[in-house]
Amino acid sequence: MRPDLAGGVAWLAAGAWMAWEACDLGLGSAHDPGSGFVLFWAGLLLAALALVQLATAVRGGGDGAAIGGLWRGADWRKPLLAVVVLAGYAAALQPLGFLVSTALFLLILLLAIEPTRPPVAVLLAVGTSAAVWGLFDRLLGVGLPRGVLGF
Amino acid sequence: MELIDSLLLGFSVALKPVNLLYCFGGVFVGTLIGVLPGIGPVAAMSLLLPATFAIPPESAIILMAGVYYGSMYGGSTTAILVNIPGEAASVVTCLDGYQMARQGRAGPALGIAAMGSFIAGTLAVAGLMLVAPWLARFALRFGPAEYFSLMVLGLSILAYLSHGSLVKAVIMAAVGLILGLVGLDSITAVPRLTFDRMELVDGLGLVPIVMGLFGVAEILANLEQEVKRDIFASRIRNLWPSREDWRRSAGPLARGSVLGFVLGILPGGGAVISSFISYGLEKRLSRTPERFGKGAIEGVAGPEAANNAAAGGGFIPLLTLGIPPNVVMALLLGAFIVHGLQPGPLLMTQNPAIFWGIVASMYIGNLMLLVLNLPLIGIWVQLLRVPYRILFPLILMFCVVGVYTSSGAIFDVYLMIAFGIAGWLMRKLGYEPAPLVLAFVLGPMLENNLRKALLLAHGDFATFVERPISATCLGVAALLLLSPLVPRWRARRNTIALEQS
Amino acid sequence: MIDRRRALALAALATLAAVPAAADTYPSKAVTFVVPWPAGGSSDLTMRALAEAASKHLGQPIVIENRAGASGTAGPAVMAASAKPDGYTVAQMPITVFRLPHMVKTSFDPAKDFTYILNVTGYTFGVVVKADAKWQTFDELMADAKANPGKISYGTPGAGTSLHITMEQIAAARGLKFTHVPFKGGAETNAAVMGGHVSAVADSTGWGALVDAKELRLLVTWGAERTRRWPDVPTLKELGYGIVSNSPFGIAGPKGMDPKVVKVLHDAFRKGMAEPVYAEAMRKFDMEPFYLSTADYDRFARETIEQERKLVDMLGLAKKS
Repeated sequence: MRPDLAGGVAWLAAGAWMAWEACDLGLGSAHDPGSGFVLFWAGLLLAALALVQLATAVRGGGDGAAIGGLWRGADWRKPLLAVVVLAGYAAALQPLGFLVSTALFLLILLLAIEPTRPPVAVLLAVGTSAAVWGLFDRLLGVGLPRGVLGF
Repeated sequence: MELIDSLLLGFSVALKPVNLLYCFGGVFVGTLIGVLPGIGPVAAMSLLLPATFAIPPESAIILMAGVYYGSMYGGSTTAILVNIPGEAASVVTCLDGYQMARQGRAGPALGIAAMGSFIAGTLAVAGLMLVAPWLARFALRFGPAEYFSLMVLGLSILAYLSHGSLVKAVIMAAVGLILGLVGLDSITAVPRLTFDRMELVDGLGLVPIVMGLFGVAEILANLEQEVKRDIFASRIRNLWPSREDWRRSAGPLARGSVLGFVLGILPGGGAVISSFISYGLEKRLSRTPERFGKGAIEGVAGPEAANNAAAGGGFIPLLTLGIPPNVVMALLLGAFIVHGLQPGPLLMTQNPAIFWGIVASMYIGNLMLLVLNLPLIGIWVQLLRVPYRILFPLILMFCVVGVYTSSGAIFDVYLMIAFGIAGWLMRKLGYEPAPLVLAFVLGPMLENNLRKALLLAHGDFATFVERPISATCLGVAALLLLSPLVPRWRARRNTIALEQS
Repeated sequence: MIDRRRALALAALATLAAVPAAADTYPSKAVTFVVPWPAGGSSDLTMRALAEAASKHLGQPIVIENRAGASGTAGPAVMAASAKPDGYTVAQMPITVFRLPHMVKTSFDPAKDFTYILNVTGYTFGVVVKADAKWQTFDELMADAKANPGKISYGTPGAGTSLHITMEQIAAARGLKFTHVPFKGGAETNAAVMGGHVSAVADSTGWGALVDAKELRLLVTWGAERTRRWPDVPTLKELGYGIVSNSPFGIAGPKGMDPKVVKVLHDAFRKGMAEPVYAEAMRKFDMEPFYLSTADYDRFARETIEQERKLVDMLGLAKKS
């Protein structure tokens, strides 16, 4: 399936859903437009544009390559791994506290995705998290998560 | 003559050693928080506010104001270096600033941003001094109908924000508009698209969206292809803008300053709108619009001047009418009142030393910022020499810290990750994030003012064309939108927006 | 997953140190005070002054956390959903906490989800028009509104705020119709009335400086008595409307707090209210102290919930269920 075709279908669905949902919120009248008024028109606009994109794609416009082609020559595992580690970091931030979770996060990224020498990685991870914590929490007083260990 | 006396009075206040110190402290903290993504002037100023209770009012305001315009100065740094807009006003700076950095021209980009900020900041203070009361009165003529039309004008430049397909740019804008309306309806307090999630009642945060779409998405895209990215580490050319850079930037700087100053006076989002409009304007006026989005220095100079001038313009309604046009100014209003002062029409006559002291301190503060920032450019550029395998985990961490510190909610960190993934896929499919952000920022104001205007006009749509300011804005917007249909302009616009297809 | 991890970590911690009985040692660390408004506004600044004054008597710092949004209910809502009732998290309770649940679906129930500690203050509200407007008194404005239904528009800082509700109450009492235009906060309402986009504005004292500068005319204030700053301006009560609207607000914690802890907090805030730093902040922002004890505030909260339900019903703003 060509990317623009897939995109068009997705946007069409999103726009139609939006317009339908907006009707639920109430369109109101011109005298007193309701909560769904602008959302409804935005949804319709989105759907209309999706149709234009679909028409262009069907007529053979666009680059014509299949979706899979977008990843040709690219290593999708690295970004995926980065996303997983990032989500883990977000989940660990509050339970473990900023210092521990940040040091771990940096360490994993530094070692797993594009390997750095371990001593350098450890030094960087610990040093950076401590420095950032000092800057934000101590100096600027913004309050980073403390975690169960109290720091 | 009176003006000169007033200025002398102002400088006699601002040049007191203790006030110089507070001014420096303010701009220093401001620069720091400006460079750090996420944490904005609001957070820093509200933390500083209690600490100012003990010092004299003029010193307190000089300090707080310094934090604000100082942070505007530093905001472009991460946008240029690593594609993270620290605030909405720097989104446009990413478009060409980051491209310049990738071409080894981070130095000139940062240089023109700093010089542009200085020039615009100084012009804004001069404007504040000369035309403040008059302009503040003019700004009052903007009612809901005028705001609506201004937002339409703002949106009509989105075609100039993309260099890909126009259809895709408008799709992005529609999505941004919808995303901007998530949360409690500002008119009727009905929750919209919140899916019964408490986190969504206040709407989606701007910071997680821009950090995700720009910062995180950029990293994900870089990670999957090893070859390209060393370009910008290896080839750092000149550190300063060249004569040619200056020649190209002079016009954008001047236009951006005026635009930013005027729009900065209007309540709500002046800095953001002015930076977008400035970019659109420069691309429209340029003889070589195809360079935009690929590292055109005009695309950095104009918007940077605009958002810094807007920061200066924002002081006008506060100081002359006591009406704060944005959150930061509202905070400053609080600081005034805490110190027993009432900003408003009487401030200038009742407390001239304070009014003019603040104005004079802003001249001095802008100079301090320049002296402080120019040497830093060398250091920032060196940062790009750090290997990417070490740089990218640090950037990701700063994104997370920035998002977390700006709202204190882990939910926003997840939101940023989601927008990071979306941004990465979008750029693969040829959708650009800038129109989305523009519509996200303008959308809620567009909707809110449309509905208020119709309430006030009892449902009569003619209100938008009967009011002169509103009609002018709509006229310009129509001209921008219709210009591609006129054959003479068609060739030119095609090069502007439709290169790809 | 987060919860399980947190539970595991907590269990590990518990084996290391025996946790002492919480109420006896309270307070042993800083108390978080959730202020549901952005930093720097009048509510925020007076609450900061109160926190500073009360922390002296509490013996622990009181840290302000701004959690703005949802007409001031976001802060209490998040507290109700996530904070432990250990006395280390309390929140300012704006009147919208009692009102919004009748208007939209909220995640909290004001009758069940909070432990009310004490009431501290109320706002000064008033109606202003442009100084060159033709209405010299509030009665003239009302007469004009009566003669021209819907022609007179008024701005408020938002739908469902006390300003909006009270104006509709006034309109209902006199059988007239205004056009209500909700803005986003005091800055916008002032600009709108100054620019002549709305006929009048009902808001808290953000208009003070403009009234003093004779740019705006203050027609009426809504307190029980005339204000100290504008003693010549009559109150709604004097004009025969029988309405006092000052949107009182107090402090509450999550449900199920230990009464001993509540008493410690109540005493600290009560003493804090007597401190000059708080009185000074009240005066600067034209607010009036309005103390209610724990028992009184709890009763007041329950009465207010009922009263708001009736008002919201009467004005046709109730949620459709």
